[in-house]
Amino acid sequence: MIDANSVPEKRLDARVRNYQGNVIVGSSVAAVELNQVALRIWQLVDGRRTVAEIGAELAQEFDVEAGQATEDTRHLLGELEEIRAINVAPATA
Amino acid sequence: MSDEPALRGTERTANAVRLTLDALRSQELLPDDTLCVYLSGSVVRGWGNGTSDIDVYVITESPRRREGAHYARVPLDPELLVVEVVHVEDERWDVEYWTDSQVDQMMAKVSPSMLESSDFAGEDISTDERDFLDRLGYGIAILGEEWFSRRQAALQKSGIEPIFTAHALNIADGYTEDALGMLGSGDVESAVIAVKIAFGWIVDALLVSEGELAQNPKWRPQKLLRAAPAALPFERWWEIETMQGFDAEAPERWVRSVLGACQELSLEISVG
Repeated sequence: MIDANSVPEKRLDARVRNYQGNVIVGSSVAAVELNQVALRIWQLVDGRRTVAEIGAELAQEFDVEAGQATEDTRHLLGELEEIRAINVAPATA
Repeated sequence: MSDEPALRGTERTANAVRLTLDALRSQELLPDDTLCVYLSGSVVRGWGNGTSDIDVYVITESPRRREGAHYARVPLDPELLVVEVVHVEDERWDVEYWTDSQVDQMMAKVSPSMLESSDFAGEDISTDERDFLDRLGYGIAILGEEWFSRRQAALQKSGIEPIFTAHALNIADGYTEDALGMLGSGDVESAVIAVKIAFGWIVDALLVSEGELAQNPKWRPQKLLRAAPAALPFERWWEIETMQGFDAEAPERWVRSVLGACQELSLEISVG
């Protein structure tokens, strides 16, 4: 279960393709097309930031409410975890 | 030939342009049904050195046959590529003979529709064909200007860049998978080699997407300097290529770091 304190990390076997700006992240299971916000979330996933921290960055960059941004982040990361494009660990600190 | 080029790149090219037709005629290397003659290769590109030969391309209507010539096989009909090696004023010239029909077939392999209709686009293109298509792009026509311009224009409109880019990315993915599998089984040394190969293909994909079509690792420095891709500054490429930061006590860390770099670069490489 992903929560605000979870720390997502890209799996190194996740495949990324950029078809003229349309970015698709895939794995051996399935693929997900990323819209502009989803792409930014993918870029912010670095194995160090928590879901809440990614949400906070998004809120600032896209001028949306932090709680909603964190929820959107959690939702997308759930999809990416399901297709095995990321791993999610609980916060260590 | 000495290590020092007798004439530097542009001078050598100019000299070859001046000599080509007479040299081919005098050695009976210019068939009657020739449609085009052009020069290309590293010397024309400006990357040649003292050991580089001059690459001459002769396009004919019918296949050339001559005893004593060198032959290579290409996945085309006819499947023979004829290469004559000649020496002109102390320069070694490689003269390749391609038929107009072979060029048609190569163009069909890189048509935009191929990318949409096949997951394997680019896989049936040999190194000789790839070099031919790359060199067509920056060659200098000596004879048959109309044929040459028409083919260059067709190449511009083709799907060659996305096809080669996708092909290189697919190969890189394969080596990435290998490297992770090797790490998983404790074969770290093989993983190091696999990730180096994966990185090479990622760099090639990036270079192709920037218009550098040929896949020849020896020219990566020159191509990176010329293309100067924002996604991979030369210094960063050199750092990975020369394994700076590699710790023999913890090679797995370097492998994972390079795999991460490959993944980040994949995002920056536009297919199409």
